[in-house]
Amino acid sequence: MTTARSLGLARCHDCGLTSRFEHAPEGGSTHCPRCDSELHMRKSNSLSRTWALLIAAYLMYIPANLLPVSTILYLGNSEPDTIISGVIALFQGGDAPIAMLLFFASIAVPMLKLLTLTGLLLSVKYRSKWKLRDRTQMYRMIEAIGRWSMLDIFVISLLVALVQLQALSTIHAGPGAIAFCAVVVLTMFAAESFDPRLMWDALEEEV
Amino acid sequence: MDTSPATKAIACHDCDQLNAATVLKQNEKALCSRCGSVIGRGGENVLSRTFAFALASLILLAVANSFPFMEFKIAGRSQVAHISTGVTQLFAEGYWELAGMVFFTSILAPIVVVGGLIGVTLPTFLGRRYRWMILLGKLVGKLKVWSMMEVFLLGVIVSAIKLSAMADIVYGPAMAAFGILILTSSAALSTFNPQTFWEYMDEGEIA
Ligand SMILES: [Zn+2]
Ligand SMILES: [Zn+2]
Repeated sequence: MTTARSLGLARCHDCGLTSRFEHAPEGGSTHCPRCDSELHMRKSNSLSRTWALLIAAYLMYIPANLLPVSTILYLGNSEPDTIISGVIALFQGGDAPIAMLLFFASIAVPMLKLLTLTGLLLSVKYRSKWKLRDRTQMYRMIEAIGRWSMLDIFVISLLVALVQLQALSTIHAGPGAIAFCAVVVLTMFAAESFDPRLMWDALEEEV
Repeated sequence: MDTSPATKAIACHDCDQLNAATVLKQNEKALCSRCGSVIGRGGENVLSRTFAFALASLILLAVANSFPFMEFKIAGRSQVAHISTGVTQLFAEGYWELAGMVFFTSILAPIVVVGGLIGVTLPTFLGRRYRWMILLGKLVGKLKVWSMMEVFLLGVIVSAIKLSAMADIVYGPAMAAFGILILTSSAALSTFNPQTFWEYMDEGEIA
């Protein structure tokens, strides 16, 4: 096995070209010969950036689950819903498939992303060589499914748009929705800033 | 372009393993020998198919955003919604963060991605290469995860089911356009092979 880095080569993050990495003079940077993006052997400050985004996401996760994401005013009654109470109400209303879908998109996926990214970051910190292939696949998976968590935000925007019949019934967004949206965006950025090659570097430096 | 032997190899974006570049046939995939990630897709002349799908998507995007896509009827009153109604309503209620994210992921990013795909494929028919195509190619690569039309469509289905208990839902013409749009835009993205595009850019003088 030969890594690009061991031969002084780097892959461009934007166009995928593998090219020779020339160490730039102090303060300068190396650029891709094809697309002119800045080249890095590994994503710059990957670990500290990913940790910072992840911790911010954990902090926003609390209000996202405690505050109401929407409030329904129906015939004079006001009914605030959190993410969890919304899913439970759907289950009780007999809409099991939709409840499962929202449970998956709004509860399972964000939780899975937060925990997986934490695990991956720790595995890099402790230079773990355990199941590298599986961990790489896990990373690709959470990167791919993260966007589906926006589902609840779209549902809220659609309900707010449709149900505006003043006297009868209205639906308003709640502050929890902002926090939830922040969790989705922060975890998407965190997944993007994590560099899976750092996991594989654990194999290399001991040889 | 530097085409010394070392740069003919492809570095894996997931584990940094250097893999020999191989010629791939249509629908063939190259996998990294160490971590199993997809490092190349085969396909010739796919840029023209991407162009056709992207052009159809742009037209459908215009249709989907110009006509009402849902009507909500309750007790003799009705409310008509466009795709953008959720954005304006959220903004009016002071939830500009949500309004901004919904606008970005369901309207702006799809337009930029689809428009960008047209921009990088159209000049290839004339054998032209421009510097702005490089920027557009990078922009498409960065924005495609933020273009969430299929998540939005799922949101439409979920809201319709949620509301069907309290009112009648009538689908407008934009809904049909949006449904087809999901197919054409995912076809545009899946036929677009960034590698083919970047190799095309390497093959001649860039104006
Ligand atoms: Zn590049
Ligand atoms: Zn690999």
